[in-house]
Amino acid sequence: MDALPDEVLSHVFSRITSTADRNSLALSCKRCHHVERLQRWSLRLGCGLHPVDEALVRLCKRFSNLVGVEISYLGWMSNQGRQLDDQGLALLSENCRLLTTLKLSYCCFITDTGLGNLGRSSNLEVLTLNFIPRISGARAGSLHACPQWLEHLGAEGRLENLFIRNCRGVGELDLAGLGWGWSSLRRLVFEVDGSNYRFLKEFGNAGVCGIDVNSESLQLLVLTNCVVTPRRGLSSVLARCSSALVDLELNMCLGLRDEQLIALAETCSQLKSLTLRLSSLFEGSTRITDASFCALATHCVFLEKACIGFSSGEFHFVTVAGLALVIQGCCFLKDLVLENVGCFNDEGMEAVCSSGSLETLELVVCCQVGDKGISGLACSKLRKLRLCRCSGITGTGFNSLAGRSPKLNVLEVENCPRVVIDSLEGVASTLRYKQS
Amino acid sequence: MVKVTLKSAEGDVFEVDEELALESLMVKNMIEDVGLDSAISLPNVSSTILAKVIEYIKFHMDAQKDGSKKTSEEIKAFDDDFVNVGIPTLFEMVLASNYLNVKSLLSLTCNTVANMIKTKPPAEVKEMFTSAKQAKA
Repeated sequence: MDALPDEVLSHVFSRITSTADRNSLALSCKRCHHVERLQRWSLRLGCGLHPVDEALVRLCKRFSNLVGVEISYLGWMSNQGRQLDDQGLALLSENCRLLTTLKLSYCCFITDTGLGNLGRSSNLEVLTLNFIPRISGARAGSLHACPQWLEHLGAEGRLENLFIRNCRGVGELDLAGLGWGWSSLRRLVFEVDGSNYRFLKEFGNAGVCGIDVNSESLQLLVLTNCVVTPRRGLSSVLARCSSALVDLELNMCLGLRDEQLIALAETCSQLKSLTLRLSSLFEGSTRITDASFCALATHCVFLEKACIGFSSGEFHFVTVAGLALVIQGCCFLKDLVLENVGCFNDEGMEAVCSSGSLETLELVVCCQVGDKGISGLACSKLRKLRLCRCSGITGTGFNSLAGRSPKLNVLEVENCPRVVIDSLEGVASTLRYKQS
Repeated sequence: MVKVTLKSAEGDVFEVDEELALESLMVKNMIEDVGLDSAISLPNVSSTILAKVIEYIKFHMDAQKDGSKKTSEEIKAFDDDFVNVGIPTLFEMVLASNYLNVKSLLSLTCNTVANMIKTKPPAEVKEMFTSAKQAKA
């Protein structure tokens, strides 16, 4: 190997991606160790890091070109030694100068101070926080003050991706702390923790005031369990999204109204993927009707993927006509998932048949769809159909489809109580059937 | 067709089509700098290896031409067979393709070495590298 210069060895090593292979390579000889360590861009660390500060510093010294670090304490128990804390985080940013991507999961010792220091001294572009229970939003004693760590991150202006999941101390209003940082943000995933907590918030802070931020650069926005009632919570994030937005996911967001979705559809004409899960528990505050779907069908003509779900089956103001408008109006729509959409019936299936673009359809607990809808699929362009817990369908529908659906490649039937496997013969080339 | 003369480490002379020679970015630069009048000397590449590199480029150029009937399976079979050589020769080919700057061959040979390293324990990786060294000495 002396014959191969470092540059050429790098070429070879760069093709070895599995960590096990890389570790074994590094152990084989001194020179491999040297070339390999300069080429390691990212590390994933877990409970085995002990004593954590020392181990972290050594790893950073060895892999001096690290740009991404992921630390997860999933499954940690107190007898495994101390977790990474604020001091450890400071050591990380001090010793890992090129760090741009940081992912922290289940780190119970990290507080606002640690993240604050990190934000001030780093070049972070991607930050993922998943279950960091001790970080908070507001500073102690003040109601509307924003957490300093978000301020620091925002002030640097480099942060492009922010993913916050299940951090119980961080609420909607705290995100205002990013300030100017909002204008450089490309992807935001914000998942407010816990369903019980939502009741509190509805009447708490986020339910009475909102933040005003500049979300024009967002390309991806995922909000889960957030308050978005007009002029409250994160409603301005939705209102100020621009045509840059391609991917939008709203899960169980409180207080979503037609006028918001209509305005969004008009502005975000480049939207390619939309997920909308509505909770009927909050039907009083969330008001979505067919008008929203009509606006989507009219303005979001590039939509390729849509997922619509109603958490408990019914959502009174949405009818099959609204959904049919989207299926027929969005002429690039390839993927459609409907979860718990009680109103979707054979009339909706007719719209599926007439769509020229739809390739994949997934129906989860859509019990109004019957045999008539299924047998109609003979003339559709569908390649993949997945049915899960659809009790309205029996074998009869598939019998009439056998041999008449040349385009259908994959058929998955899962826990549909009235469909037996024999009736699926000859319908599609690949068949997956599950009944439990 | 314009011809280019390449001279190996041992001083053997290979006459190839200009089109073929230009596949090596290093030779291409040389031609741009000094022209086609004199032979291009390649002191780092032995005759055996240079012959192999030329064979490789020629096969792929023919395969890419319109009217070529070669299937992707045939091309893959050629590549597999091409790198099915001892480690010393393979290393020499890695070096030559790096020196001559032939991207496709560099990628093929590096991939082959990388695949040999994959799933091997440290001792075997070490052995692989030392065997190359001993054979050379």
